Amino acid sequence: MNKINAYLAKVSNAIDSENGEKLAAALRLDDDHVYKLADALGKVHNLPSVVGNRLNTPWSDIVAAHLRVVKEGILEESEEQVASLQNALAQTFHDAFTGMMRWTLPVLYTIDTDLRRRCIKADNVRLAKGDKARWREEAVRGISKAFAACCTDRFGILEKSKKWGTYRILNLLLKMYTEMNQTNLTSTILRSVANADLPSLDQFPIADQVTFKYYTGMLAFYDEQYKKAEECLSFALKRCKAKGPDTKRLAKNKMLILNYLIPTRLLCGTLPHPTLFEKYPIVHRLYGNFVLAIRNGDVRLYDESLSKKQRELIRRGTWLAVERARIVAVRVLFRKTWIIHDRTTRVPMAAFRQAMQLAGTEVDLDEVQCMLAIMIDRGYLKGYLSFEKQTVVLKNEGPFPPVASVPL
Amino acid sequence: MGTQSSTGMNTSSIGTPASSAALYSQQSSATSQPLAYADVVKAGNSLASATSGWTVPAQPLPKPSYTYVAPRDQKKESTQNGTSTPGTPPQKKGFDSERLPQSLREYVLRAFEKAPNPVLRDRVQNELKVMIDEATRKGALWITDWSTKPLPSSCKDSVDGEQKGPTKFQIKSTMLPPKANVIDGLSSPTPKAKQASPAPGSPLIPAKRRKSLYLPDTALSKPIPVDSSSDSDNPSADETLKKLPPSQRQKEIEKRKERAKRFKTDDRKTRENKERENRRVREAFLAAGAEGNPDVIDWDEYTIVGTCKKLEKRYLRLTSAPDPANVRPLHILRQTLELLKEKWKNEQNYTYICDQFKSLRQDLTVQRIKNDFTVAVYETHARIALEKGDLGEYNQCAAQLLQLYKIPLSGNVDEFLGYTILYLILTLNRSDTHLDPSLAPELVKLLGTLTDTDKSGRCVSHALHVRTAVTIGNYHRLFHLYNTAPKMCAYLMDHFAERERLKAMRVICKAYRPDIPIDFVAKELGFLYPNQEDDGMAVVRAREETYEWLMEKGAVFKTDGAGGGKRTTDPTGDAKEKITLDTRASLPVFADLVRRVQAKGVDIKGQIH
Repeated sequence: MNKINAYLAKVSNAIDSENGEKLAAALRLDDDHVYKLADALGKVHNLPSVVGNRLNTPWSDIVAAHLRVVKEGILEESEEQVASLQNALAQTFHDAFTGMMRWTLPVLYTIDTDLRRRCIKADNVRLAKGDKARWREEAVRGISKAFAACCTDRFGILEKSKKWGTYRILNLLLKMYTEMNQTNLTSTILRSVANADLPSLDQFPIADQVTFKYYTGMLAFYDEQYKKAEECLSFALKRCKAKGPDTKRLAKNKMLILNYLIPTRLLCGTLPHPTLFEKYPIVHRLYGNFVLAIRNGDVRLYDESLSKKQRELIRRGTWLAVERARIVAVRVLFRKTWIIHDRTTRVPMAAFRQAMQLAGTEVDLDEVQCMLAIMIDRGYLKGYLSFEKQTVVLKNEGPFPPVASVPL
Repeated sequence: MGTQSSTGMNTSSIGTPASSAALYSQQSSATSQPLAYADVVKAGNSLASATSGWTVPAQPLPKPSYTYVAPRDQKKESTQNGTSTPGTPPQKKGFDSERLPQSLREYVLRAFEKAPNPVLRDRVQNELKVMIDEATRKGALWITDWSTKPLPSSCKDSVDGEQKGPTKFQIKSTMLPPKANVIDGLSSPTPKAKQASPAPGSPLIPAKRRKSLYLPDTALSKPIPVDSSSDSDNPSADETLKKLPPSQRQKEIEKRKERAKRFKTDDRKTRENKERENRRVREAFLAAGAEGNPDVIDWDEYTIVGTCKKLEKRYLRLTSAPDPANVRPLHILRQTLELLKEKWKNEQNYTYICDQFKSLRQDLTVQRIKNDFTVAVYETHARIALEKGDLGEYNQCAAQLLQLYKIPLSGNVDEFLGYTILYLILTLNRSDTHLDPSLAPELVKLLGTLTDTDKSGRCVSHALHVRTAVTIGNYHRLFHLYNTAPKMCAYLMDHFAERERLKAMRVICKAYRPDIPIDFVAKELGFLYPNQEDDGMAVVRAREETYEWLMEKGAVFKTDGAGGGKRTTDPTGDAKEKITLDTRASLPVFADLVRRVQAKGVDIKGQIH
């Protein structure tokens, strides 16, 4: 009982001094207090009244709900119970949240992050049983409410407004939608952010900015808007910290960004510097061969890598984009052919066929013609094909425009 | 065959809550009237034990639409004996034998004797109810000679041989009371719809059907509120148990206990594997049949077996429980398939064939037959649909087939996997050479699940090459593949051939200057088959065909070959050999056509435009 009182005293203190971090810690599920209070909680019968004695509403409800999560969920070791009760806690908190100020944001983050983690666990339990996952959807519903509360906060003084939590919660939602493969649902919240009366992104904490750019970059990537994706992802990569207290996680973040950034850049015609691969071996393993193939115009290697790495790339969601970048390898090869022919304006088609053969792909003349035609159609090669003379007539200046300038 | 006895009828005692039926009633909350009535009855009766007599309620009661069902525990007592052997007569409850003519009771028993199977029982009950109602209305209840009256027509549909239910079926008194209740107007609805599960092990009519006897049709789909306290101790199991029809619940609980016992002795790993396997199979089975209830394990009780002997049957969408008289059993269906194959070969009447196949598939679904034969039926229908270009029907069959293969059932997996890939390709609405982002994921997901063995199959590897060619825009390879397509892949490719040809023409017109020979187009676009290049006749034919096609599209031609020469849009006969395609002039034509094609989409059934 004493322990509980001590705990409640700490909570009460934090509330009175408006210390968001301390309060958040007291409500976090992986904090020490969870196990320290285990015994005491078991002996208490009427939690709500015990808590109600020390705290005022709405905090009494919130803290009581949290203790319920601990007592009936964690200590019972039932994941689904935890998820359900945490959901209830989130609901209680979100309802009260509209009347709160900026200092409570850490509490919001804690509750919602815990909610997400626990719902994932609960869903895994369900899936293992053969049921359908449903906890994540519940969580998303609740967190969306919190998002709305942040986004549309009307409190007069900007300093104390909850608007500052918008991007953090938005990122959490984006994360969850991505995990649930429902990226199509992100458009609504992104639109509301764009239309809302918020401070500009660069005023928000850098962590929020980087995460936000990562997700928007990723979504643009899936939407095949590669220019936009390149912009967002590059920003994220640059501003993402590389060293800090949690280097492992930071490195992982960098790799996540690179996973999408490299194929994007390949399509846009930029190859990564060799030192990049030294720093991030996993990325090197995935995309190394493609980069090499493009650099050398080695179409055979490219095709081979496409089939070898297919499963992995599909898992990471980048296979289609890498496949599309194949044409860049072809372009490099053809350009080399042209150079070998002294950069003349008239090169026989057979020469290109020979080049393909040397690169290791066996193709007949008609197919090479087809590939040349495609290059011209897409804009990678400027010129035309003369059927009668079976030659390629190239533009005088710059028949191979830089890849970056070719529309995707 | 179940037992009957004259006492069976007695215990079906009208209005006796204790003996009541598996035929529980609608939830009482539906209307207030039944509730009040139930209270009256309850007040008037002592329901403590199964053997208690029943009392006639004081007031004459209106004919309610619900029947009163005893609380569960009482039911158990009363029907406990009945479970063990078919031969045990149900206990005699205090039944006023003057309520129903003995001959009627016997008649009813005879009728039920003929209907061991759930569906039949249902039908028989319906008929009996109707008959008895009529008789009551006419006041002819006691006058009619029930002993000589012919049994309800539904009884004649008695099934032989293939039925699975009979040994377990017992004509419980529980079956009969509702009717008697209705007749005498003494039935009372349950205050709370405590389900009365008859003795475990007796497969009575599934919930839905039973309800149809007494309740307005709208009641059919509503769930039955259950007193969960009477169910198993496991809280999470309550939910799943609730989904079961009450009759099954007790059985399910016991089954679970048994199952749990079984697993205790197993090694944990094997147990997990077994569970996983079971789940997977169950899911596949369910997915293939789209059954609503995920927890029903014993299919036998629900299987209908058909009795129809006619080979051919027109397709009618089912609006109610199927009548076995109209459903063909498996051995008949086998003959039907052969017949249909012959007819298709000889007559080529697609409307007829499609109709017949749909009814064939319906019979299979209704009887829950999922085996190699089912696979054969779907595969045949799919191929026929492909041949006729009916993508909607093809898609339905293909979707089912993929589920059936997962069960697993053997079939032409490579072939149909290949078709699936091609189908996905053709449903992509493309802009330029790019895939529509919203549809590509499905194709990519499928690619991710292919194993190396999958990929080495003839049809699948062909389809994969097609996919690559389409993505890259490699028309040369694409039309080569088109002309060398295995099995029926070409029929699928037909649907995007036109679209791809237009795109190819646009590329050609963009790249080549000043013109190209028609023969080249014929070759590249697949009008000329790969092995025909030396065949003079074939070349000429292909050239003609290509001309036709190009002209139809509005292409612009040149006479007198490359460089100079007049432009014309209408090449005349003799000069055809010298005619070439004017690429610069034709470019806008094809560019426009491509734009228009890509603006169209795919409709719901899977047809593309």
